[in-house]
Amino acid sequence: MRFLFNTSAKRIYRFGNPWCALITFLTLGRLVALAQWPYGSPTTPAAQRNALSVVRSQAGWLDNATRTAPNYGAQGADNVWQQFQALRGTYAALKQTLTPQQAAQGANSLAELDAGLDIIQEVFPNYQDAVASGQPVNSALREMCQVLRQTCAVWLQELNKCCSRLRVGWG
Amino acid sequence: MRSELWHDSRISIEACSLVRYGIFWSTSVLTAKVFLRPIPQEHQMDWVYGITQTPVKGDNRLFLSGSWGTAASSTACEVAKTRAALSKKGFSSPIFVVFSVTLLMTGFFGCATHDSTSAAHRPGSGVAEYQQITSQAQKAVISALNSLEKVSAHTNNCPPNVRASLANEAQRLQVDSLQIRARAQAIQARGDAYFADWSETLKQIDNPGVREAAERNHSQLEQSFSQIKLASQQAGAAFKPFLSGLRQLHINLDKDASAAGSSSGSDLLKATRDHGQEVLKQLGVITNELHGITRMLTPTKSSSKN
Repeated sequence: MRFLFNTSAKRIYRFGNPWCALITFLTLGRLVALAQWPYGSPTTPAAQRNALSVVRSQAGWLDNATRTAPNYGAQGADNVWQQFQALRGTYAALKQTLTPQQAAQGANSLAELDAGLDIIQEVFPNYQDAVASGQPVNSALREMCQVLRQTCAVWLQELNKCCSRLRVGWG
Repeated sequence: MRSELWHDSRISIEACSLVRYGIFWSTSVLTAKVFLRPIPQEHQMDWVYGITQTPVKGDNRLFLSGSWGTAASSTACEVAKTRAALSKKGFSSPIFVVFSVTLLMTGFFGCATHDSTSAAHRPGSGVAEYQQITSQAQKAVISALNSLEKVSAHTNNCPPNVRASLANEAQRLQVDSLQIRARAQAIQARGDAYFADWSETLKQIDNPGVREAAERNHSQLEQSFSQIKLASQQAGAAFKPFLSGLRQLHINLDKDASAAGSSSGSDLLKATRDHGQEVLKQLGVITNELHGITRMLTPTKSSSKN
């Protein structure tokens, strides 16, 4: 970091200041693009691509969680729940990046994706019911994770189709 | 198959990101190495006039940076020679600057790759897709009903393979019916707006015969949609107790292999089977309506000639 803040009068940098500014801008810009933008979501193709990439990554995390959760019992179920809620959050963020035209054109598909997440979420109360009915926790958790993993894969496939249809991230 | 496709897609995205980050950071470091070195005040205008002078050996007053990998013991002469060599190769020319900026921008704004599935979707393909997911759900319901029949044949002592089959079918049903349940829920939630949006997609179909048929049969299409909406609602209402019954039977049989033989067990078995039959019936109604829609949208010979 020394080169960024060295303001010694004796040292004159060839292209130093403009390049420092450019690199700083690009680096910070990259961070801003990855983080949540607090002033309303931009609807640029780059923002859409980023948001879609985050949803896919989160789906991967959820997939991993469903594979490891049966080894951790109730704690594993909590982790899967959190990862699923995070997936819902990233999907909501993706929807915020859609242009009004895309949102209108894909209203049916988006409603189906919303409904899909609601239906998938039913596995959690089903798991609680199964445990309350006397099914062993590990067995119930394993079944829940299998269903969750497979249904989320179907859901992600539908999301990819929908995004492709709406040309999300194209620009 | 689904998960393989999904993983392939993710891998390509990750690889793309990796390349982008690689380009971005390597270019940043290279640029900083070349341009961010301090130069003596007496040589600061050299780049303007294209002069590349080698300073006197041992003069290390202003060339040492140390921050970017240059050893503190390097002499000014060595550093200047390196820079002179770079300059001769064109690294400090405006072309190199433009090249660097282009690379930085490439890394920053990312790849513009698209999913290969985009071409697969065409306006109006929704009916065929709906038929496909309905058929998929029908198969899953039939399989679950078959496994119920096997359980009812072994009420006194249900063998482990039959119990395992019931559990598997209950899981498969949840997965294979996801799309149709989601669609049914979306139809209920959006109501007429769903049909209006779907009608809009019909207007984008390339085939003028299909467009004309859609306009001509608009009221019948709307009526069919209402039937589908009603059947979806009834199928959804029967599906929940059906799935719940399957799961409860599976849990009861795991605890006691003869659970289906008790009066409560046989009642549960019967109620679950009835709900399953109701789901199947409503899915049949949806299938029939979809066939009707397909017929309505098939252009007649006279309209296709036009």
